[in-house]
Amino acid sequence: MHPLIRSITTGVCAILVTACVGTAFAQSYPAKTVRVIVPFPPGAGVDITTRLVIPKLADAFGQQFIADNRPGAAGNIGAEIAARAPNDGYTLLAGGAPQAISQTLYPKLGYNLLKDFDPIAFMASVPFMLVVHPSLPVKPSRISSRSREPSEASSPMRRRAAAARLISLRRY
Amino acid sequence: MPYKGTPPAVTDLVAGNVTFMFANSLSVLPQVQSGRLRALAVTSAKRSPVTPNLPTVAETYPGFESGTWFALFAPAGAPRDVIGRLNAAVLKAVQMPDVREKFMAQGAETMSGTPEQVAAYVRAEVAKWAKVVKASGAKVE
Repeated sequence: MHPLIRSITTGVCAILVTACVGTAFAQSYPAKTVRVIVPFPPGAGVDITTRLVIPKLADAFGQQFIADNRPGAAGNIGAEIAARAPNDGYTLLAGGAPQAISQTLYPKLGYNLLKDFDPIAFMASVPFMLVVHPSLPVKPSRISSRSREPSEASSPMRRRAAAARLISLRRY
Repeated sequence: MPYKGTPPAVTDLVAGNVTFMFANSLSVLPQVQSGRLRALAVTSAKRSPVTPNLPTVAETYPGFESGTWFALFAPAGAPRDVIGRLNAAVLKAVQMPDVREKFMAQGAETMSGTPEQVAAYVRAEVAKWAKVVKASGAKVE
């Protein structure tokens, strides 16, 4: 065989083998337990969400998916562990808005959400609720009042001012 | 007051040690429903079907919308086929009636999207919160 033809043939075979190995990996995935790092403690929103979703993944793939709570530093410790894990699909991160906020809030962060991770899928979006202790003499109607003039420094007014500050941030 | 996470802050609020907080509804709706906490407003654009009597902040301050979101990530460079299969499985999971019901019962909503759409959303979120963090002057201890 002509050396050039031989090298082309070898090259083509190598590409085919690589492609086949890749496909075989995906088809056999997951061949072992998949660990989903939850960077907040049990009972946190992301923990509740993840624990609703992963039993369905276990059913779909016929393999164990476990939630591994690694709380600390506002969700950064778990995210850092996940960022350093092998990128073989057996360690995943249940991340979200907390890590998006940390990218700016923490000047020294051990991971970059945009560079160190490949997003897979949304799980849920969750609104915030403004909640108070029931002994506090305020009702939803007072917060929904259209009056915006904080005249006295009474506590409901301070609360309203706090809400206003958050709202002014949201305009950006 | 900074807390290490929502659960300890909720504990303190229930105990009466703090006055109020904004918390994700997944973590506080059970306490609201049992009467241990009182909700004053929700930060979604529209009222939640779970708490139809609860006003939105936007009813007082039009345009206000805030919240949190959760997504599954893989360390960068994971096999594309694996990401595709996981994406399909997660989307199917969040659409299952029992999962949807549990999400809705706690004020959460499911979201759909390809990995590329999630990536675009994450980039937009990082940019949005960068502006919020800078404007708030918030610093970590």
